[in-house]
Amino acid sequence: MDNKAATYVKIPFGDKTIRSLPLEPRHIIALSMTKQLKSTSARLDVLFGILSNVLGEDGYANVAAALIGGEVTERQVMELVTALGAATRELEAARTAAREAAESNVSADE
Amino acid sequence: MSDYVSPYDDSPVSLFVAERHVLIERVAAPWISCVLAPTGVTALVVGLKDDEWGGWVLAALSSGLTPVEEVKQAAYELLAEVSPYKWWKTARLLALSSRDDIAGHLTLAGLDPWNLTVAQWVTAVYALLTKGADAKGKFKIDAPLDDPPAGIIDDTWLSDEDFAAMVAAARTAPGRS
Repeated sequence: MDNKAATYVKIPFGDKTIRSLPLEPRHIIALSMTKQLKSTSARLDVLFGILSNVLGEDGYANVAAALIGGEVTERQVMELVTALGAATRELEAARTAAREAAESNVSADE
Repeated sequence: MSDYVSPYDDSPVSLFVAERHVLIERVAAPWISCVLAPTGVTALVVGLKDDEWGGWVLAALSSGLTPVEEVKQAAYELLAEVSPYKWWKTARLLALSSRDDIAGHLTLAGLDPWNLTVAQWVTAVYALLTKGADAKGKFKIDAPLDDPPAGIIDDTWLSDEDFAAMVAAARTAPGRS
């Protein structure tokens, strides 16, 4: 199951913080592949879908309610989605660095 | 009638993933862009068609309806179908073709990835890489291209007949009663 390797990140959301988003490998892969979509609207559709999936129905409903109630702006929701993408890139970079470090250690051992 | 389709065929190739079926063009250029993506060959499944299709696959993937493994497997099968080489060799040749020195040679040779199929493109790249190489030089080029990626076992060289012959040979080997 993909659920085994969830990664938790903190995302600022307006004046609040969504403290932990359980990003699973499937989310990270899907987020990375949004770059393959040509139009911004298609990318955002996917990002919102992932956000809904990651936050769960209640979490996403809270985001939507905050938006409808005027507690947060549409821009802040967009920033949340962007932050999700940025967090993913950081995770990817950290993983790549760790992998390269491991590979260079293997080379040094050889 | 055989289902075999030559990798040099230029008709669109079928892709089935996330419970949907699409046809993918074999023109090499978009394939090169996709294999260079950070997610590697998996990006082929999303990036070779329109956004409606890509969005569908990503939604299915992120919601867990379609496992990551299914998308990866679809990418491997897609690559295997459009090239005479193993999928990993095809992916490596596509990626290599974007290296500036190799891309320069290909351009000077008049080759355009927008006018060639994946099979034509990767075989041209391979021919360029091995041109004039002696056996030792060719081995140095082939080894990193042919070596399966970590976690992939290449057992295609071993047919059922080969296996049966090995078993028969082992049974009649000296020392066996």
